[in-house]
Amino acid sequence: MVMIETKAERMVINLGPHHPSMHGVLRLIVTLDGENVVDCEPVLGYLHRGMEKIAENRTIIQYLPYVTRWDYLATMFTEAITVNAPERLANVSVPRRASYIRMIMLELSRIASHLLWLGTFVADIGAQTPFFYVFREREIIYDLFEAATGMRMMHNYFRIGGVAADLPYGWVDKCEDFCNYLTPKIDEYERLISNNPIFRKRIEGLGTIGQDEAINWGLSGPMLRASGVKWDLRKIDHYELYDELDWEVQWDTSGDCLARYFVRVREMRESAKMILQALKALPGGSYENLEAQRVLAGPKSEWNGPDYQFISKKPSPTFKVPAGEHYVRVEAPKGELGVYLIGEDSVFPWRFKIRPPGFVNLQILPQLVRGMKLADIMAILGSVDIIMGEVDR
Amino acid sequence: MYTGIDLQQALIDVLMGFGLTQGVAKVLWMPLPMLLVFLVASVLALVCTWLERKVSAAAQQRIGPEYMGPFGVLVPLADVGKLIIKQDIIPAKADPILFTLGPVIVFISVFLCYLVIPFGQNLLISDVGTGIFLVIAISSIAPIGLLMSGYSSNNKYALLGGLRAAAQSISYEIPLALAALAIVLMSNGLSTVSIVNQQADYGILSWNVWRQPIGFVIFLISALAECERLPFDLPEAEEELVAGYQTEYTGVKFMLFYGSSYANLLLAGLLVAVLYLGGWELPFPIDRISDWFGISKNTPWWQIITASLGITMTLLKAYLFIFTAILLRWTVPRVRIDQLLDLGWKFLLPIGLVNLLLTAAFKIALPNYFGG
Amino acid sequence: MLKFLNKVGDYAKEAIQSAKFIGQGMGVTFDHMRRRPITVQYPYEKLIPSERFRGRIHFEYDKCISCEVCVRVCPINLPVVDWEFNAEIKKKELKSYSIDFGVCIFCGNCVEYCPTNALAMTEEYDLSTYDRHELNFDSVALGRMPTKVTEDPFVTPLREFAYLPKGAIEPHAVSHTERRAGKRPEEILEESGNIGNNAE
Repeated sequence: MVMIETKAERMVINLGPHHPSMHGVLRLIVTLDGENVVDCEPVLGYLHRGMEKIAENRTIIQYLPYVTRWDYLATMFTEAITVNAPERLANVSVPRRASYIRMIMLELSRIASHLLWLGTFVADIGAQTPFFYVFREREIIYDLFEAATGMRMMHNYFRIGGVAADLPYGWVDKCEDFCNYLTPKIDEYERLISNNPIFRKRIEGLGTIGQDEAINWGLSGPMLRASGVKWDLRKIDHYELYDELDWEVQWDTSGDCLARYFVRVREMRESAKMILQALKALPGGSYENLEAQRVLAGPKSEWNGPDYQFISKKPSPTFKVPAGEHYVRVEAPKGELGVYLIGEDSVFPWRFKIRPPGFVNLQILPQLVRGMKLADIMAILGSVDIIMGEVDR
Repeated sequence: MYTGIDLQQALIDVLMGFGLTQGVAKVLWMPLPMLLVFLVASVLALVCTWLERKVSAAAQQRIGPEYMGPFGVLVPLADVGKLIIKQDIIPAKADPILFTLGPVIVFISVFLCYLVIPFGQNLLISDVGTGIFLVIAISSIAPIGLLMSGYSSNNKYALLGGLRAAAQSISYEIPLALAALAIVLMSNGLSTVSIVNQQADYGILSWNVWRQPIGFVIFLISALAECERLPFDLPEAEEELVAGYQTEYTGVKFMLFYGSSYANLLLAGLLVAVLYLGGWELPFPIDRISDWFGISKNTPWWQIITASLGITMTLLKAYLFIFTAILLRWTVPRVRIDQLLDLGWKFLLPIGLVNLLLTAAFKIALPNYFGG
Repeated sequence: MLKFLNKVGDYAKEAIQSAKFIGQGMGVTFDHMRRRPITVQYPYEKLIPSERFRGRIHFEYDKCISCEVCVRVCPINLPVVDWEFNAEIKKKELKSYSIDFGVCIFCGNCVEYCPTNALAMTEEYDLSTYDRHELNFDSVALGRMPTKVTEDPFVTPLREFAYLPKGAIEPHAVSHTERRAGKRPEEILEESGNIGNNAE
């Protein structure tokens, strides 16, 4: 049979930096053959603010307010890594209570980040409503953050040796409320989204990344875990006190967008579980309890011991980053967030290299979208979960 | 056959009472229903936009428009006012003639379809013999307008949107027509009035939904696709194409697109009501009531009651469809272009054909129930 | 033929399954229609900023010792501290102090490190002006107290999540007299007395 072959001229279409579905200011130069994507070239740098260079002439205290602008949706992690790097270099110990508070904050932040990812991801495929539901829950997390840190997104809460302030009065109870409230809500999202045939059809088998491929591209976080690699830095690096909690690494084997969706949804559930445990195990219990015990037991009691402090020693404004260099990483919601820190016994770090997970994960995008339909670009990009603030830094 | 209220005859009688000839009276009458239907359709389409805002707000635990009039009902008017006074921009490298013509064609083709939509036995502009066929034929013109505007905008998003609109409309027109054809087969006529009358005998039980469940589903899906609403709003898929063919439009021309998209939704709702939900008929035969009370069908006040009940019922049924469409829009994600065409050609079309075949077979086998 | 029919059957099953799941999803959205809107109608309702809220900075002129710690901990060295050394009392004398809130990012470092607590955070967050230079607050403007949301008769104040009673999620449904979450010291003492006994 003779087929009439129609060859249309390829169309180069520019998605972003201003485009309704672009996450931040990413620009994709897409070459289209009809509806099929022939090539895709991401252009970065529209949000470059020189975060690494700024770090080189700021003390850690001065630099801390900046870092929440890297990944402004998982703000606690950026602070954690900025604090962890000099902390480890200077061998500053962290009280147990502070470590627990950090874990609670980090997991809350992870939930917030995954929630927003869920909203934008589903909105990228066309369903707008979950976005609003997700914001309802995220709002509560931010209310909790505001009560504890004073700001909803730009917390400036972590300090070298602990956190800036103890949890406020009644916070533990409300945080528990939130965790108990969240799980049914996630069930509801799953009822709305997970089995929806259109959603399944759009996502299943899309943007599949194999196990080797994922490792070779240096992917991390849910991107890696969805491809069948059980790699979670919380388990591997044993940082903070994650080992004291009972939790599982969430992973999947199929490596497609649907697997990444499930990994993230399950991580949210797991985080809620971890927060509940951490709240129970929090040394000294809630702030009101700790205060009452301190007053009751007198100044020399064990309640004033090092484990029950929220910070080991308040860092001086002239905290010196010791000479030496090392790489520190945490498991951020988007993947491995690392800092390569070189100190030279000065108040300023000599080098502050940031390894953002979004930047590394984004590299695989052109390869994934090649040969797909135009609409799939958005779905795949959504499943990668990038924040331009940290990609461009 | 009982004809119900006949405004035309009544008015002509009145005018002839003034000493005019019948011809002149008819000419005087003619523009009135057109204007009326145009205005009513516009208002009802505006109500759709308000409903969209309110329903989406409620589904997302928001309040939606609140301060513009009671429950924000004046928001659509504010929209219209804003769009009318907005500057009309034609992009520098666009084709100005096609760019203007596109929305006009879409608008006219949608509103022309209201010609045959009946709100009562005689409450329609014209009971054309080709009725439902006319609607399908005219609504096929709309994609030409969309393609025109997509092409003339000189914008790649608009072009892709226009192409998608054309592809989508063409592929869903066929299942739509097939589903309607099965109804036509049963009612032995293309006229919308005869289709409704054929469903009138036993109230809700004689509505076509029960006799045409497959056709009903096909019609619903294709109607949604024809209206370019989620899950089938690919031509204006915001996440991919910004706003598709309407990307470059502002002001009045955008209003024409916006208005006709909602008028089209309303039209789909009315068609669903007429074809499957018994049009202006109540869930129980209204004639029975008049018989029980011993009221003559020709009593003027009774005629007015039945006519207004008929209009209410038609609108109620149409808005039921619209509500479902809106709720669906805020529930489901969007399908991909190849899945959309797959669904149209590989699922709806064969099923539509099978449905037509079954209807024909049933019509021969059970002529009492399938309008032999 | 049988194969074909089987295929048709599977197809139909799939279609019914799809319809079921879409119906399930619509059930969720439909269910939300009867729930109370969670939105805060901003100018008419306002959330009460939390106690630690980092709003506009308040400055107490008399407490300041012109040590300039605030400048050194500020990410951009923003506060302008103008002082003169008074030889008579051998102390620095503050002449003027100003912070430009158009540039300030409200990180709170200056407040945290101020040795005399001359600086404090207020709950004021609506700082918009028509001229950005109006945001450059001098020591007089910095000394003004903000208006409280709770004292504004035109505003319904709403509590944030962390200040609601235990178990409450939605601020609209909570009466303003209800106690926020967290136990009172006497309650804790009562309980811990029991705990202490148990431990022994």
